[in-house]
Amino acid sequence: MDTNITRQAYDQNSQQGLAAMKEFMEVETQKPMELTTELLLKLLQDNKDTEYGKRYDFASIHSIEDYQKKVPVVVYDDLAPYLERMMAGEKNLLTAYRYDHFNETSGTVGVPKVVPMTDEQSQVFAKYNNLHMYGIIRDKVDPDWMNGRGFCTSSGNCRTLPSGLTVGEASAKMADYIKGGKDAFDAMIRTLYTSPLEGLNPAAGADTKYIHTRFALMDREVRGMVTGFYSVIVLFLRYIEDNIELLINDIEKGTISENVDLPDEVRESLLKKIEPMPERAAELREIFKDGTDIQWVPKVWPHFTYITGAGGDGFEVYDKVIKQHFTGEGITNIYSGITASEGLWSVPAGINDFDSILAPCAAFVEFQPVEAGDDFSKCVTMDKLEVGKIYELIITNLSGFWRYRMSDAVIVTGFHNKTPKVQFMYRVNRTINLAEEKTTEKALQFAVEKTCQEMGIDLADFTVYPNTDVTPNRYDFLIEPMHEITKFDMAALKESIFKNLCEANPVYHDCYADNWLAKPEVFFLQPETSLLYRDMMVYRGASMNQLKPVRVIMNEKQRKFFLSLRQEMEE
Amino acid sequence: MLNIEKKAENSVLTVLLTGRLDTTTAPELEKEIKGSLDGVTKLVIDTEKLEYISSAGLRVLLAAQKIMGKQGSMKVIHVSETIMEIFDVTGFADILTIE
Repeated sequence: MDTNITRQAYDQNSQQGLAAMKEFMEVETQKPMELTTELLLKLLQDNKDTEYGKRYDFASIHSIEDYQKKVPVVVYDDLAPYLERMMAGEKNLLTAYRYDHFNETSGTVGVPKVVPMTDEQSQVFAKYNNLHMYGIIRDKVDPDWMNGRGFCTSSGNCRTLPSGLTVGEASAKMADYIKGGKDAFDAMIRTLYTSPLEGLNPAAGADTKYIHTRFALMDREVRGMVTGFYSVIVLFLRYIEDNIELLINDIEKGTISENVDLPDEVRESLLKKIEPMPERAAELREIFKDGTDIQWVPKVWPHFTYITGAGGDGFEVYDKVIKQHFTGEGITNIYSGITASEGLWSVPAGINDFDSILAPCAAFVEFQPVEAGDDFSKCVTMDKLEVGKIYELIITNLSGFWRYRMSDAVIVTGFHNKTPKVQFMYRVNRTINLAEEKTTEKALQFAVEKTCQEMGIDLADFTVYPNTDVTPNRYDFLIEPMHEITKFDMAALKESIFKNLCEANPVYHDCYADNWLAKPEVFFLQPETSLLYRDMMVYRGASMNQLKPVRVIMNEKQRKFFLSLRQEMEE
Repeated sequence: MLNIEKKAENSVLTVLLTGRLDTTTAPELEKEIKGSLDGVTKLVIDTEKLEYISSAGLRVLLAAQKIMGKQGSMKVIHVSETIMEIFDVTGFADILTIE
């Protein structure tokens, strides 16, 4: 790949991004209420003649207060009948905006859901996701980042409905919008990223991990990694470790091993894009000659400098694993803001910063104090937010979701100019309440991370089982270390978890004192258990890029799986 | 400690495992299997003398199953009660052909 072309492309893209990012940071954040009110009133005006707009009389709404009085807070089931009709081809139901595709959510908090991808909503994603991110990279990272491509892990597919509309991952549609179609899109993405189109929009049965990692390893000049979730990065880097010999052999010979799952036409098409690279193979062989137990990323890609993706939002464990085992320190992280298939609510506040800044022009967001439960009269706008308080997000997006309950809870961490900064806290309906004490995933994570730090455990992953088979109920922590542990002071470990859980959630301690909850139990999982779980989910058809970690065991299958893979301990 | 004994007959490869398939020994088995599957249409994993299998070991079996699903078939034979229990609770019993 000609690095001059890559540099030019990044230069142009990030120049635009820098302008967008500066406008956001310097202008939009100075008058968030004015801008977000303007957005809401425009959305109401534009959509007043939709079925939903007529039902709730959007035409008569002229203020936020009117909106809150007249339009109810809804959940997905309330919108589902409209969405089914929209997928069948009916127009003007929830939105008047044009769309030809529905994003499908990961179904992390239930069954998969669909969200119409209107032109307006995709512009929001483009501006506040892509452009903003490259603006930050341009502003904060050494300009050398432009001299090489990114290692991209995305893969997306979509299916066409009888109505002619499509549903699936939005990335699968991009080639349709580019003049020149798939070939032009392939050339375009390969200027910026190492992966070819066959990896980004894979055919059924194609091993996307092989495609992405093979093409990334071929390129010594990779500068960074672009991903959805940081857990996916771990998955890809572990894949390289597990398959390093096969990958190097293929790179050396310019072949693709018969052991790699690829439909014939994909194999044929990929072979046209590769050639033997004996020198690169020799270099990789030298790096891995003593195994993979080294921080090998900077050796494989000597100019590797940035990672972007969701690294907060419950993924902090993987952020640490990446640093400790693969990259070492010194990599710049740009953690995504709070975004979902339903829209985007905040953008990164800077580099290596888990805070994100609310984006007033990207959506109209209301904030329900979590202690208010379902009493939506307590819902406030962003000018009323208090630092340190936790709120559930109620969103109005540009796709026809009106006052939609996202079930995401955020904590307000401060302000950038007049706009609040937030961090994702937990999924509201995934708070666990063995004794009404509201233990959040964040609290569990805090307890595990602090305990591992205190006790010198090299943490790879963890999950927690709310155990109701014992009285009083208790939490069973299943900690997965990077390397096997067969002997440990388990009593001290248990005490440490208990102490840290009480610190993370003082109500837990009250419940313990009142004998409503027992002290937690702690077990070690066998190394690679979480990877095995993900492998199995992918084997059964789950999308690798959308799989989120099992933080709380929710069903019997998961319980049996994780509990049966506990490490045998020596006395 | 894991002992891996391979027997190839025409396009059938039988792998007899003795000992413990764990984090330490799984990479060895992975290497042995992956390096021996060219032209193999039937892979038989004999676990009669396998005493223990960990998550890392299960990952190797899953990877082998994926490869063989494409080029033929794979079965696991002589599964002890202890190993079968692991296959059952982890969901492997639904994925593998066990005789």
